[in-house]
Amino acid sequence: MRVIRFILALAVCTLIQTAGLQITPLFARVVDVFLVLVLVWALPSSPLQAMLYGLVAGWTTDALAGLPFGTFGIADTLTAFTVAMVAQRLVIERGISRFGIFTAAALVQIGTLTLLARVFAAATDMPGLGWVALKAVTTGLLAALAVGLGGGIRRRWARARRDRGSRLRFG
Amino acid sequence: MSTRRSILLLVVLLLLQLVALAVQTDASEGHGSLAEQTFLRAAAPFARAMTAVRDGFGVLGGEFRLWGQLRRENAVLRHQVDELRFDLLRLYRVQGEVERLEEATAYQGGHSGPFLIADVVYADTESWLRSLIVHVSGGTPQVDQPVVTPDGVVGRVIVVAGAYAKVQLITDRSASVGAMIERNRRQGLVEGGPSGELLLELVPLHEEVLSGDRVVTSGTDGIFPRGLVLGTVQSVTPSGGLFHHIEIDPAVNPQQVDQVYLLPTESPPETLRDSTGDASH
Repeated sequence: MRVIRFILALAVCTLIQTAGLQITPLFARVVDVFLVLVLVWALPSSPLQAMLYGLVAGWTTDALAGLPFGTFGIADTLTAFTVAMVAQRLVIERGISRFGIFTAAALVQIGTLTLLARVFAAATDMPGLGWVALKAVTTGLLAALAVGLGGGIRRRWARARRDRGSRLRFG
Repeated sequence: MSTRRSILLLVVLLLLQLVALAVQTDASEGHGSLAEQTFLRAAAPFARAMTAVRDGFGVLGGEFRLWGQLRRENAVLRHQVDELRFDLLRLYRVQGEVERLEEATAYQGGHSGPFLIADVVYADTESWLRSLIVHVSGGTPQVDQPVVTPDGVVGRVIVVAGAYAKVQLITDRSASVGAMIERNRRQGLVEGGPSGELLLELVPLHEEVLSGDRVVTSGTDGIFPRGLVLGTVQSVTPSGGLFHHIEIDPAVNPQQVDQVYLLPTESPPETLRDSTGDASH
């Protein structure tokens, strides 16, 4: 079930990415929606699951982007694994902590991509530092917001179910 | 699963991907691995769907706006049709002369044959590499097919997955096209510049190059047929070496392209390409 939800979310990300690029060609420089998805799904997952989520999302990005196929796959796998490992060792309750971890993870992904692009696609345009910072912050912020909103919705849903159950018992 | 085993698995997974990446980069360019084709087939339809939605809204809004414009344009176009009819008559006469000359010199023309029409479903013109994904409805695209619009060259097909094809733009930093200045037939190499412009390389300082000169394909790269428009010279400055530094304004703005044509092309035999080197790769 969780895998199907992930694939659906991946499809939604593809739609968002396409729509974003139609609105402004700078969209891909400002945010990586596939990375947002990877971060959100990696946080509550085991490192193994996170790796697989990162791999599939990275390969989808590769299929759409121009870099040699597999570049985003490697970067997203590594990033997802890092986030899952960090989440296993730290208690991440506050939104600001999540934002910090996600932004750092986005920087790890961009750093890995830059390294791989230098090795496998020498003539690639490297993004400026300003764009890198903006993308990391935007991606981190969106991922933190998505986790926060998702948690809120899940809590509300669970409370509603509990209330309904209690009414049935005592009514 | 223990931490050590997870890390081991990560290292194995990363190494496998790195090897695949290295093999792919080293192998014949651009044919695309099975994984790439599979993921392109899976993701591109969603991009196409979103483009269709945008087009649908565009058509609705456009209908209202166009109503007034159409009446004015109609009058202008009627006048142009009369002028073009006259030009057509003249061109028929010229065509007859050309055919007679071709027959006399046994010259065989370049890019004849049917071309494919393709819709742009995904455009990434500002990222690491500049590329488009197109959907071809009436045929199968092929790797290295030239992609053009009526305004000029867009790029070439680098990966094919069914009816979808990934196109490397000529403005991409790693793209290069055999080119010549139309006015004096001086040949050079057009490459993608850092800010989306084109650069014409290898034109010696003693050659006269003027701002506004039209640059077309030379047909020497084995991919693009001769005579397709690449752009016009924007600025010419001495590079400090033996060659001019020439910036070209591309004839086609990839951000405004929604439909392209894939030209049929017959590449030179592999043996010839291998022995002479290929400028386009």
